[in-house]
Amino acid sequence: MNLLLALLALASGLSVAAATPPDVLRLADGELAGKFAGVSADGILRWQRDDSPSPLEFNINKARHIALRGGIPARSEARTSHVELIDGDRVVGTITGLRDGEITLDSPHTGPIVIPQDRIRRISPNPFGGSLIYAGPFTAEGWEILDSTPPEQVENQDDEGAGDDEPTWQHSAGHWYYTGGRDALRYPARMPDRSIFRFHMDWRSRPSISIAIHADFSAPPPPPEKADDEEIRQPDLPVRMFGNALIISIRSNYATLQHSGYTQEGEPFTRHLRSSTSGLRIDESGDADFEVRSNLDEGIVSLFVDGSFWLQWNLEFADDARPLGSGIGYLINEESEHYRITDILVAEWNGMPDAARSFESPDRDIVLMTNGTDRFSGKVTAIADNVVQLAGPYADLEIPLAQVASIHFTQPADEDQDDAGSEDGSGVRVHFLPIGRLHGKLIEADPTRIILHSPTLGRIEARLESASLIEFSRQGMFLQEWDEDL
Amino acid sequence: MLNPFPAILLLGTLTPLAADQVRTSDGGVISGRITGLDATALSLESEHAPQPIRIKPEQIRSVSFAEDAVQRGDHDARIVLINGDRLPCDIQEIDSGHVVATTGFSDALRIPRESIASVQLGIRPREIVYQGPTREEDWKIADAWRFENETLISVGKGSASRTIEDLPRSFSLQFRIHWNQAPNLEFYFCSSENRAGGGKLDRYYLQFNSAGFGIQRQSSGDTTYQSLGNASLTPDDFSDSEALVEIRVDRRIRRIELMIDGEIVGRFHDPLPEAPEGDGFILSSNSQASDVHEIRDIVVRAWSANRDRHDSEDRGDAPGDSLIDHSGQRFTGKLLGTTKEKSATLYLFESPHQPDPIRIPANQVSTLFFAKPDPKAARPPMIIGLHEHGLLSVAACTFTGERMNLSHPLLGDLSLDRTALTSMARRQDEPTTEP
Repeated sequence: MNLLLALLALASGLSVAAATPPDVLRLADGELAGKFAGVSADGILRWQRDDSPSPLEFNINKARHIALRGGIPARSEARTSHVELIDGDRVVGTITGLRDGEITLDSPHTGPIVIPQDRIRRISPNPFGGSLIYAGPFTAEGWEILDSTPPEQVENQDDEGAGDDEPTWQHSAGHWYYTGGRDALRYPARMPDRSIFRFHMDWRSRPSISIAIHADFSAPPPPPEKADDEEIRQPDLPVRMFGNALIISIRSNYATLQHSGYTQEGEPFTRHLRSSTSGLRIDESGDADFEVRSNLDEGIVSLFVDGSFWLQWNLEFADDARPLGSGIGYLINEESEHYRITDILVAEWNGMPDAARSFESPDRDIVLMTNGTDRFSGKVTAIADNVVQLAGPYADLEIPLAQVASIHFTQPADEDQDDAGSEDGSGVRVHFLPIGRLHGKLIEADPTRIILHSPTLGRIEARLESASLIEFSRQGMFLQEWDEDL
Repeated sequence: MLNPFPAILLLGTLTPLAADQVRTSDGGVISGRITGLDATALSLESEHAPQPIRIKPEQIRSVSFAEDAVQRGDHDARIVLINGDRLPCDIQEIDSGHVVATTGFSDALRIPRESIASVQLGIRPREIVYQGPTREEDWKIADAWRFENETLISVGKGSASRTIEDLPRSFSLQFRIHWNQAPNLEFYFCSSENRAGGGKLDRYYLQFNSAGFGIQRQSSGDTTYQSLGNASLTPDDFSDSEALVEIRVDRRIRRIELMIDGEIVGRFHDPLPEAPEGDGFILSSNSQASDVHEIRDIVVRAWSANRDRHDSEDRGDAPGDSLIDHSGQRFTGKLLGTTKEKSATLYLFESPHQPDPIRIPANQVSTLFFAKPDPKAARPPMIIGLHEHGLLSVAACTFTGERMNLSHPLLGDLSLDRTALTSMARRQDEPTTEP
C-alpha cells in the first residue's frame, strides 16, 4: 500500500486543537500530521500523534521538511532588522554593535550572537523602511487558485463531471508549485502605489509566465450593449484572471509589460507599455530572484533579476481605463514544466532606485539610508550607541543607525554555498516568519528549540516559536522525483 | 522620462543647413535669415523677397538655424532651470545665493539658486582613446585580413590586432560589422597577448556566429573558458547583414554590457576574482574563404556606468540640496558653496552626519540638486535649441549682427552668439519637465 495513503488514513484519526494547526511532516513518499517532538543526537526524529501511545520515530535522512503549526509561528516576530551572511543565512535581530571586526546582534531566535564581519554580506537595520506588508507564502491562507475555464464551458464541464483534475498550483512548505494547467494563482497583497514585490522562482525549461501586479481581481463587468451585428469582445485570459492589472510577461530572453483590464464602458483591453528595451536573459532551466519596483505616482515599473536592474517601463494610462488594484498573481502562459515560487515579499518602496548594485564598489562598504536617496561609501569602522562610524573618502561620518536601511560590506569572493543537505541527511534549514533563516548540521532538537552547527556561527541554539519550516536535505530537491508527486 | 521637446532634438540630427529654415504648420518651408521674433511674428529675410517675411508664431512648426563653421561642444556642465530649460556651461563659482556660470556663447551668467533645479558636472564628451581604423600600419594584419577605405576586411581565416595604450579600467568598445554570408568572428579585448585562439590567456571576447552574439571569458586559471552570456539575436535578425556593436566594460566591478544597434541586449558578470588587465584588441575570423567580414567605425572611449546612471537619477523628495559624486555617493544637506584651495576647487557641503562642512573636490562632483522644478515657472511659447542639448524658452528676441538678444523669464536679458543656436520650435503640449 502506498505509504502516503496509509499515512493520510492514519491522519484522519488525529485530533488537534482547532486553534492551532498541526505540524506536518513530509517524508520521502508521503506526509503525516501531528506534533514535532524533537530530534535525538543520533538522528532519530520523533513525531507525536494522539492516536499513538508513544512518539513515532523516523530517520531524519527520510524526512523532507516539517511545517510547524501549518506554517504559522506561535509568536510572530515583529522585527525585520537582520544580518545576511555570505552563506545566505539571515539572522534576525537588533544590531547592538560592531567592533574589532565582529558584529553583535540580539536575536529573538538565538539570543545575543557574535558574527565575524568578514562573514557578513550586509546588515539591514531598517529594511523596506520598516514597512513590510507581506512575506510568505508560509501558508496558503488568503491565496486563491482561480479556474481559467471560460464561463461558457463551465456548464459543459459540470455535465461531464469535471472538477476532478489536480489543481494547477499546490502549496507545500512555504512554496507554491505549478504542476500544469492554466489556472491563475492570486493573492490580495495590499500593494501600495509605490511598492517592492519580490519573489524567488525555479523553473525547469523555457520559462513563460505572466505576473500580475496592482491587480483588482475584478470580475468581468456586464458587456456593453451592442447592436446585434456588433461583436462583443471577450476578455483575454489575464484580464479574466486578474481584472484591471499590470501584467509582466517573462520569457527566457525578454520581458514585456502590459496594462490590461476594462474601460469605463466595460470593454476589455490590453495595451503594451513602452520600455527602452525588452531584452532579458535568464537561463532556460534554473532559478532567480525577481524584484518588481512600481511607482504608480511617477508612472514607472522596473524589473530587477538577481539584484541587477534589467528593464524599466513608463506607464501611460488611457483616460477610459478603470483604476488598478493592489493584488498580485501568477499565470503560466504555456503548459510546460514545473515552476516553484517562494520567498514572496511585498513592501512599501520609497520610490528611489536601490543604488547598492549600481553603486557596487570592490573596495568600499556601502551605506544606504532610509530616505531612499542618500548613500555613502567608505569603511564602516564601528557601530556603537546606535551610531555607525563611516570613514569616507571626504570625511568621517557619524550616521544614526535608525536612519540606515542597509550596509553592504565589501563584496566577498563567491564562496560559502549553503551546504544544507549533507549526505547523511543531518543538514537542515530553519525558516522563521516573517524573515530569517539558519542552516547547518542538526545536532539535536526538541519541540521548542533546535541546536545546529552552523558553518559560520558555530554551535547555535534557536528557539522555534517563530519558526515556520524545518527543511531537511533541500539540496536538489526541486529536481528530485519527490516533486513529481505534487 | 519623456522628452518634452521631440521636435528640437529631431532637428538637431538634420543635415547642416546653409541658411535658416522655417517650416510652417501647413508644410511650407522658407529659407533665409531670421532677424527677430515677437508676440506677433517671426521675421525672416529672404533673397526672394524685397521685404522681411513675417510669419505668425502659431503658424510655425519649427525653425532650424544655419549651421556655422564654428561648432561649440566642450562645456563641462549643464544647468537645468526650474522651468526645464537646459544650459550647457562651465561652473565658475557657487555662493549662498547664486551660481556663476560661463559659456562660450554668452557673457557670464549669475543665476539665482532658486531658479536652478539641478546641475550636471563632468559631462564633457567622453575621452576617445582610439578611433579608426584610419591607417593600415596601426594594425598588425595577418592572413585573410586587409585594410581598405578605413575598413578592416577579412575573407577567410585570420586575425588583425593592436594594443591601445592607457586603456581605461572602464571603457566602451564600439564598431560596425557587416558580413556577406555566415559570420564567424571573435573580437578579443583586454587581452594579455596579441594572438587569437586557445590557451591559458586572460581576456574577454565577443563571439558572433550563426548562434548569435556571446561574451566569453578566457582565463589563465583553472577554467580556461567560461561563457558569460549570450544575446538572443542571430544573424538572421539583421536584414541588411550589418550591426552596430557596443561593448561596455567595467573592469573595476567585472561587469560587461553588450549593446546591439543601440539596445542593451545583455549584462554580464565575470565570476573570476580579477578582471583581465591586458590592452590588446584582436579581430579573428574563423570563416570559410568565401565569407567576408567588414569592420569599421571602431571607437574606444572612456566610459562610466555611474555617469550614465546619474543622468537619469531623480531629485526625489529630499529636503534641501543634494550632491552626487562620481563614485555614486549621494548626500542631502546644504551646499554652502565653492572655495579655492591652491589650484583646486572644492565644494563645501553641510551634512547632518558631520559637524564640519564636507570638502568635496570639484572633479568628484557629478550632480547637484537645488530647488524643485516648479510647474508654475514661466514657460514662454517658443523654445530655442542650443548645441550640446541646450534649451532656452523665449517669448521674444531680436538679432543684431551675430548676436541674438532675448529676455529670459529666469535669467533676465541675454545676448547669445548666433552660432550656438540650432533650432527653434513651438512648445509642445505642456511638457512635464524634470531635471
